[in-house]
Amino acid sequence: MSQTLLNIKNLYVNYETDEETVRALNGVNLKLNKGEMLGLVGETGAGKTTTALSILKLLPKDIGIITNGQIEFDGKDLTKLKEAELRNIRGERISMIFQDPMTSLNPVLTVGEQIAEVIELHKTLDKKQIESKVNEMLELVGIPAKRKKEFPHQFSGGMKQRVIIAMALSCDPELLIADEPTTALDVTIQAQVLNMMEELKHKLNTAMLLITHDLGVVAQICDKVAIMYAGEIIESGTAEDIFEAKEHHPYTVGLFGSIPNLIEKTNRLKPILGLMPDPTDLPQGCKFHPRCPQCMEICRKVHPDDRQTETHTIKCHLYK
Amino acid sequence: MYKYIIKRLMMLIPVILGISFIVFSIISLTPGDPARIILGNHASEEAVENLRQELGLNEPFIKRYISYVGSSIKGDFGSSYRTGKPVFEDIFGKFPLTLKLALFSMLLATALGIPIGIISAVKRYSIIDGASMIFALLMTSMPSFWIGLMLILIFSIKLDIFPVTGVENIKGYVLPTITLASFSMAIITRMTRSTMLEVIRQDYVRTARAKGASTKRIIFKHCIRNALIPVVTVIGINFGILLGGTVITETVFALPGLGTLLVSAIRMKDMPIVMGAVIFLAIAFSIINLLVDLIYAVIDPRVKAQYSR
Ligand SMILES: Nc1ncnc2c1ncn2[C@@H]1O[C@H](COP(=O)(O)OP(=O)(O)OP(=O)(O)O)[C@@H](O)[C@H]1O
Ligand SMILES: [Mg+2]
Repeated sequence: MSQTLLNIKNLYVNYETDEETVRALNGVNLKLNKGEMLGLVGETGAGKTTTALSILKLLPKDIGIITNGQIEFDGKDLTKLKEAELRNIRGERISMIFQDPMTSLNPVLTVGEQIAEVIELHKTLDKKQIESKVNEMLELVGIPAKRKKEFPHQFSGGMKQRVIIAMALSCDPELLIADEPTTALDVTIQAQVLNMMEELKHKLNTAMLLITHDLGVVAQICDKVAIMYAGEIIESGTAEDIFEAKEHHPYTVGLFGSIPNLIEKTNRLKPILGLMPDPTDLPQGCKFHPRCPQCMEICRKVHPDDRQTETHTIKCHLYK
Repeated sequence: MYKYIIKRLMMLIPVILGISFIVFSIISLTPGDPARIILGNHASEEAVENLRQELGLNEPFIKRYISYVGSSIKGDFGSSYRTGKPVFEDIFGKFPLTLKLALFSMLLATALGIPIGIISAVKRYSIIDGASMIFALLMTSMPSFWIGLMLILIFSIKLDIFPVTGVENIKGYVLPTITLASFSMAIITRMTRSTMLEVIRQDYVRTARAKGASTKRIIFKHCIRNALIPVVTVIGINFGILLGGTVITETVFALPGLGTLLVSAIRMKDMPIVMGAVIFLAIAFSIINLLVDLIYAVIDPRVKAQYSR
């Protein structure tokens, strides 16, 4: 019934600098259907942004390198497309909301010009139509259209984020990648933005990859959830699978323990002991084993495979 | 904006007072008697004393400075000790040549330096990049008199394309302009390359790529304006330096410009000329700086916002 829109298979990405090789993604598998909203969660440094940038082939030039794997979008492997073909996809069929609103807008162009650019690049509209589309997009994200003549430095962080959102939505993309779209926003605006994205999903059947630290947001709006650790998806499934099933990856359990549970009024955050492994020097076997409370002998030596039950996938030796 | 310009022009007054005082003290307090230099070693002590009296050199230093400032406010900058001609007649006679040389060489340096810098950055580590960086390194490390002499040797003496000296026609400007431009061009090229490389790595460039913009569009629309902001400063400073610092090139090509005038005036302790020329250059330099800042405001909206205050 549902069609696969994005299918990331066994993706490996390295950042190769002069001093070291950072193994940022180590065999990521991720599937997203049309019109679905997938939440991608994980600690800082897990490789969430790297995954997002790989999809659009926007990894830093000469440093971020896809060493293996495929990224199928609507049946085509994006890793094999030429730059010119990618340009027709970027901004039109797949668009991205970047993590850092403060630096993601060009300081010397007006906000209106920057929104207009993406429309100009992909739609055959005349100047007037483009202008009215820009106005429409700004109003949509709650910014008065007359402020389009202003420059980014005249906007607050939250407003800049909304401009970036307006930009990303203006060509009605099939896939929207949102890298922590609400981190820079205050709570009320956060709710507005999320509502807006949900509306979009229903109206245009846009699929979304929502990257976030906020499990509350995930529970609220995502159909599916994928949990990332050290460049791998260690658990994924529907929202029910993640929030209600009995069996979980020990990391997921730790992650859920680390958000304050409002209902049970446990006030104390329970952070997972230890740190993420150094991506330049990853441990053997399961990458989580040094921090795992249920670590077994096999975990130190053998890398676990995925265990799939219907929609729920766990990468752990506990489950066979 | 106008308020800002007026404010900046007002700031010229203390700057010029300061500069004139420093220069006046240096000339007055260093050994050497202008009257003796003018009349030569064989003149009688009495004649020298008379001339000193006439030029007001026997007055105390501070009194002389105050009276100099007083008369220059009225527009009288005195006359050359040597030629007796009013100072500004001399300066305005020599300045056009220097200005032309400075202007031509800045135009040349900018017109070549910026595009080469941009290409080098965009095609980083390519042959073009390597070649232009080696060229830039050579240009900054070769002294300009040597470049001038080599150019004369090749293009005037061997090939006989350009004249050795003189600026009777436009051909005469070619070699001096190249000589003067070489250093600035190298600096501008390197500056453009490095700021461009910096800009290319910025997040907003990634945003533009995510929109589906082509590399060409990204460079022209998103990068160049941002990269030029620091380059404009360098161009302004170099232009200012060229206005006062064409001496060596003027000497090599035997051109009578402001630089030559200033140097010979210093040697002769020709106080009115030295003061006039220095004040003139200080004003020119400040105006260039002001222009640079105004260009900033055109390029960078953040700066513009500051100026309207
Ligand atoms: N340009 C780069 N050069 C070298 N290493 C990089 C670069 N960008 C990211 N990394 C490394 O790759 C790993 C994954 O980074 P990534 O930005 O994908 O994390 P993330 O999950 O998005 O984290 P956050 O939640 O903090 O945004 C990290 O270890 C990071 O240090
Ligand atoms: Mg990130």
